[in-house]
Amino acid sequence: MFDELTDEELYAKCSDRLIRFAATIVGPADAEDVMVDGVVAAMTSRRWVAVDDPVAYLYRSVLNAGRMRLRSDGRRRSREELSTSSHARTVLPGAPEPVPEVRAAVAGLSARQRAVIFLTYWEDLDERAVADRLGIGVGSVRRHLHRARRHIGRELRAAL
Amino acid sequence: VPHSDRTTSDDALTREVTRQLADTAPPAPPWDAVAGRFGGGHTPDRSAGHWWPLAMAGVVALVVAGGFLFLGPQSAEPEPPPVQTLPRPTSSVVGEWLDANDSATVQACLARSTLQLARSADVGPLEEDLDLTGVTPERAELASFLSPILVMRAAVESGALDTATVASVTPLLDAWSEADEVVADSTSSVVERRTALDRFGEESDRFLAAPSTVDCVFDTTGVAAAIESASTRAAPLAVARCLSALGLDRALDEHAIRPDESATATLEAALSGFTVWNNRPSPSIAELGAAVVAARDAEPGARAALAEEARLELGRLGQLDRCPTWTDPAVLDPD
Repeated sequence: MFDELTDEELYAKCSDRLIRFAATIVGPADAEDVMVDGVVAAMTSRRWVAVDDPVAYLYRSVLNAGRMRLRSDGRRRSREELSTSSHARTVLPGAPEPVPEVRAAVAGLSARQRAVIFLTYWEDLDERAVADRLGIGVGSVRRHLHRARRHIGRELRAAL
Repeated sequence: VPHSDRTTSDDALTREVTRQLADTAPPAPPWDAVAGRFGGGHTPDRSAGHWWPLAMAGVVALVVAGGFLFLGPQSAEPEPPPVQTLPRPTSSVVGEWLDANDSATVQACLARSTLQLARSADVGPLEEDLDLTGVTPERAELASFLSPILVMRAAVESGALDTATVASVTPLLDAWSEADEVVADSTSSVVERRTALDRFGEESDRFLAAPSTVDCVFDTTGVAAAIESASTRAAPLAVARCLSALGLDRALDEHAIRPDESATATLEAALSGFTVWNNRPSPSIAELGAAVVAARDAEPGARAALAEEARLELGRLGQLDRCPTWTDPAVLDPD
């Protein structure tokens, strides 16, 4: 159904969901960078014109960009912690941020767990559709979802 | 809270968290901002580009057919991809541990590997920044489970486990071995690999979710007793954090925290299992255990100080990075 769309039209249809997806994975401050990195990587890939499901391909590409960002952030934080006792996060002035309890609850989730909860709760996809979108097995989706729910429930109950 | 209510509540909380995260997203940048990043690398639009793979497929088909006619059928056989190998940990820790395989130690390490198994599933190997260059994703996924599986297998082989525990672990080990074989086999298809991984994942879930398994492991090691002992009346954040830092937080899911006179002894026993697993003597573990237990009796106002004391102790032991929730600056900053 997306085969007839130009890349620009496809982007117009998906960009709002993709940037929310990116924000769920890396937070609002890095969402735009990660989303654009993912879209550019997908659309400049040699496989792009031949992929069967371009929307799923875009989501996976944004997820990969998000994982790279989280890993480089982790390394950067480690370096900073070695050289200074400050642990303050860099937050862009005026950028909307989730409440601290939510941020803390999400901090312990992997990128894939964040992707799974977004597709399940924001896009209302069932387990099979989430699995297809991310290119993983249904069992893995179930596992990520179960653990993400449990983790968030535990963290928020403790915070409250 | 009854389990079903808690599940429903977890579901509602996760939905709300997802909504908040998604709602913080800034507006998507315009198409021009994306297109400006393409440089020379943008392939034709998909809507105009379908002639390209078809043409390529046609060329490939012609070349293959030509080669087949010219060289005979055997030349059409594709070269199998090189077998991907992961460095297999020799795990001197496991070896040394087996040398001292009294029953309590074996059980403690089995508990530890159970916790690690649960954690492995949460933290993929890529998130841990392993060097997995050239390794298939399936192999990488399995690698994250390797360590706990090795320990569980060694525990079963040690003969120190009771029949019920062996029976609960065996299906998981079998599923892992099967997945390991399929994934290591360069001729297996992607579908076969995913199926084997899913089966292992389901077996892993079953193992971790079975109350009898968890109770069996934790009751024997004393970890459950320690956590149950650690008091609901103080609801000690420090206890939870220390146990989490030590990788023992799995049991927090299942067990309420209640006061008990034997808390110190049982917690120290559990922590000594941790010491054995890490293969290094840590005299301060006992001090940490005492600090943790002291926290259960603390008034709410004193808990922050105790948490800070435990945090410093963990930092001194080089274990602070095991507890990500402590990266909260409000908790961490001593000033």
